[in-house]
Amino acid sequence: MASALDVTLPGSAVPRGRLHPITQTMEAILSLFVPMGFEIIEGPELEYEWYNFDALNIPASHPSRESFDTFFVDSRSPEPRRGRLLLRSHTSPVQVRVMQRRKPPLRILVPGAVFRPDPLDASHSFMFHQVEGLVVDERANFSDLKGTLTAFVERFFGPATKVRFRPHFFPFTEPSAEVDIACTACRGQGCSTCGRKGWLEILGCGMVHPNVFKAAGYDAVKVQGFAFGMGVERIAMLKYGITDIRLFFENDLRFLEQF
Amino acid sequence: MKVPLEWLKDYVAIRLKPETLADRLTMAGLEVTGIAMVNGQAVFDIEITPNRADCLSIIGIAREVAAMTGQRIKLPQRQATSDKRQARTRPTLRTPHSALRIRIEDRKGCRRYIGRLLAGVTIGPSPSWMQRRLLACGIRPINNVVDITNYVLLESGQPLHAFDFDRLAQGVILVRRAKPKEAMTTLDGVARTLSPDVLVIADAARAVAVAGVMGGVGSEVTPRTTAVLLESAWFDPVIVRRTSRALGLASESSYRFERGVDQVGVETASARAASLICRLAGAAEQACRDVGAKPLVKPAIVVDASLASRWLGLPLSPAQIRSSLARLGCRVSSSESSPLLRVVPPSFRRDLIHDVDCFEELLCHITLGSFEGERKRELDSEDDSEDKEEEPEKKKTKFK
Repeated sequence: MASALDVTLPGSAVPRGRLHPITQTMEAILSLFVPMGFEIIEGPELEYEWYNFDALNIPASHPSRESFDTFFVDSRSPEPRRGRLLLRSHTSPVQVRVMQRRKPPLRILVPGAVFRPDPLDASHSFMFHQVEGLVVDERANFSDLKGTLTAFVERFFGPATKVRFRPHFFPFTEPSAEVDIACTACRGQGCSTCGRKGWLEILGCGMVHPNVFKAAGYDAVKVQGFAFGMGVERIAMLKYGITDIRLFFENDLRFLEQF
Repeated sequence: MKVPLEWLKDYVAIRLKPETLADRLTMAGLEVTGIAMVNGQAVFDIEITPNRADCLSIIGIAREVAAMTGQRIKLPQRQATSDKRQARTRPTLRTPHSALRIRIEDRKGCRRYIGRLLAGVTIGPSPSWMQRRLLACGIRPINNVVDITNYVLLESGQPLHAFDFDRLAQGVILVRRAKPKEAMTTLDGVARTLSPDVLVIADAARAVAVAGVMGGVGSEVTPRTTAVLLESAWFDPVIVRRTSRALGLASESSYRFERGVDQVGVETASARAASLICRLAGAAEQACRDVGAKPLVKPAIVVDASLASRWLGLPLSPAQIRSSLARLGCRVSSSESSPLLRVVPPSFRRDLIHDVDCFEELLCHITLGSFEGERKRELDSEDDSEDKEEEPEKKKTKFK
């Protein structure tokens, strides 16, 4: 009776894995746009200067072109006419890449990692994630943009969410706006979470600037469209009440297990 | 940027409560991030986007408020800077005023330089109303002449600098690149070694200021100054930014030059500061040299009302567009034969280049300072080209 099996022993638990909260948030965001006819496309994290800046109407004199605001890469650029190699600072370059390869109409979503040399603190990380959207056809207009993003906000944050479109500026869109929701912590009264403004900024958006169409090879006269972008970490932090962005990247199971 | 409400009211009538005005400004693209109370007066903290360099001034904000509320803007009056009665008793200068010479050697780095020589200056404290306004904006008062240059910088957005004219070798101003390893001590007391990347203001002997960034020790206005050379100029944004980063030096001046100042405003601010210096420091203008290129005439932007409507999803008539853009200071013309409008923006609106830039203005101002009130249409996955569009509701914000 040497090799007996003790059936009264408890079974060995198989640890259950789960998706990272950033992955979960990203998928939740994407799933709200896909039924609206959006297609998901990914692009390179190591990018050319031309796609990251010039094609997006960001001039050579813009402050973000300097080395202290972008991760330029030391290697020789395989295509010097496309500029230096860098780690992309936003997912917007993929808009241009897609437009170069496809004719309109387009409805695309671009999720991905982006990189900025910000010092690491509770609300900044040198690597984070964005979801970008682009719609181009003959008549997609600013009102459509408002409708699309309002629908997203109401479905993601809840139907009673107060939302506003505040005029802003991006070099690659005109008009440009930032989308704010009433602060989830104080419901619009003003608190430390929202910097006493009562509103939390969650999205940037606008009508694609004609110079971007031109750079991508579209006839700027015949098309129009809108684009939007959001920071996934920021949205996850608002949704889950997380106050320190670094928690996402420290790989502490006690944090990750909660999602 | 800090904007004291009491100062703003010098240029535009405001009947709204501070919180309401702050909200309207935010929804017009000038986000008010806070309202502080300083000596019982409201001071707005406004975040200005990089494309709106014209709003880096009290008058710039006043223009936006005027456009938003339909009020008129009241600009400072031009005043005489040389008193004819005093001409007979001209103050004596160590260097005769006729010696004043200005030469721009780097025409790309500096497009325009105006030097005004004001003599008979008595240095003292500036009036308390001026000191209060400077302090509310976070600037420390120093003396009447320096305070006036800071005051007009905040008022108009044009950076200014005052030199002690008698400490400028041979009364000469040269706008040039620094020589390799040229030494200069800036007003913060730091001794610097410059390179040809840096644009400097120099006299016949040495560099006296880092152009657009900071003045140097040895030529600045002191309590013993009796003659002031007032500088008002246009410096290239990229050069100023690179210099500012290279030296680790930033100022209210460099911030504005980096974003682009109005070439026409260079003269207006010079005249304004000169008249204040004459009035408050007892000076008289002896000479004025305006060197450099004439301000470029902007080409007209062609605006198509039907494209504007299609772009924004908001029905707009040429008449609405014309009156809205005219309120911003644009010259709008149209011809009988064409539905297109030709729009020439004012010189201070360097951000209005394409027709789409005008569309953003229309969105902000026709919907009365908010992006609310136009039809929203959600995209759905089917082809919706057959949908009948409903008439948009135009919600107008009532004045309180």
